[in-house]
Amino acid sequence: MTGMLLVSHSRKLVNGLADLTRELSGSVVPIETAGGEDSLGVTASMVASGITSLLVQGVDGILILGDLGSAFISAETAIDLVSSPTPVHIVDAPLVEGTIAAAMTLSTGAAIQDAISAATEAYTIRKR
Amino acid sequence: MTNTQFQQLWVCFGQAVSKHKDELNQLDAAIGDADHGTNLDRGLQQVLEKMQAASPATLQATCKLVAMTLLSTVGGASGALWGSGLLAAAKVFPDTDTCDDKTLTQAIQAFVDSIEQRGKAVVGDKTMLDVFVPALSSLAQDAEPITVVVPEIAAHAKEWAEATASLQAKKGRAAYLGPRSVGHIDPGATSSALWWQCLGRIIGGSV
Repeated sequence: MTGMLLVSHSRKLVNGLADLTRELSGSVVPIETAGGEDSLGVTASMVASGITSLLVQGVDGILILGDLGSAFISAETAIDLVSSPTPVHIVDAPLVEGTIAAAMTLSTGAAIQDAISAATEAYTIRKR
Repeated sequence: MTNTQFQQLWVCFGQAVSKHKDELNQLDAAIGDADHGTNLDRGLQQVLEKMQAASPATLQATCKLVAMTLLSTVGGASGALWGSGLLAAAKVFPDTDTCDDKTLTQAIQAFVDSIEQRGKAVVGDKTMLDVFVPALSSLAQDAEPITVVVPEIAAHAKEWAEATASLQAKKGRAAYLGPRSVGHIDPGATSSALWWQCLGRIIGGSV
């Protein structure tokens, strides 16, 4: 199963999003959160720990979604630090909609590339 | 450059950031989240503690230690950029006590390349590159020995940082401000200028 790592400057933000996503996708996708631990902000080490937590759960791929630009710079650096045996993809998608779209896609047993596409396409779906 | 000089550089940079912490926070408050000084200061104080505790014996080991400490203690883009840039530089530095001028230039080149790649920024985007890129090009082009060139670069570093005021931010949170980012000096360029001023003092022999 592919795991998801939600990276934010605020842990509350992604913890809430993780709860919502589990509810909507039936809790089959392993989801971890990273960032905003003691105060607001993200370090590469926090993202690296998040990747490691997913790896110990035996995931065969990881999708990372994030909030603001520096979360992505930290995520790229974290990938260098961990050297994961499974592929780690950083997905450029709206955080809330992209996370839910990817998790729901993965929960149907779809391939990781389909989940990435679903998350990315969330940019084009208008809310009203 | 010797390992001792390289470690003195981080001591100097730590002291400079500590001294200018409020100024860096104020610059960041105008176009970011007001924590650049506090953030970098916290990381550099950790660097000094770890450097004292571990006393790394080679340039490569020192560079790696500084990189890993900044990666785990400095949040946001600056931590990841300084950290990954220094990891790239550590690959160039020899696992010995000293390196020649050419190797130092190559290490700084690797640092800048890594930051450009990771931050996807170029000169003129109102970032730390607006100091590092002109500094590196002076260093790489000038035929004079670095004991002369680096103090000259250090003397210009503040001007390069101040010149970011006229630029519109293209990267980071400041980019959300669009044209309203014009008129403010970039905090990352300012702290980068402090680093070059320290390198100037150490290479020039005035520390």
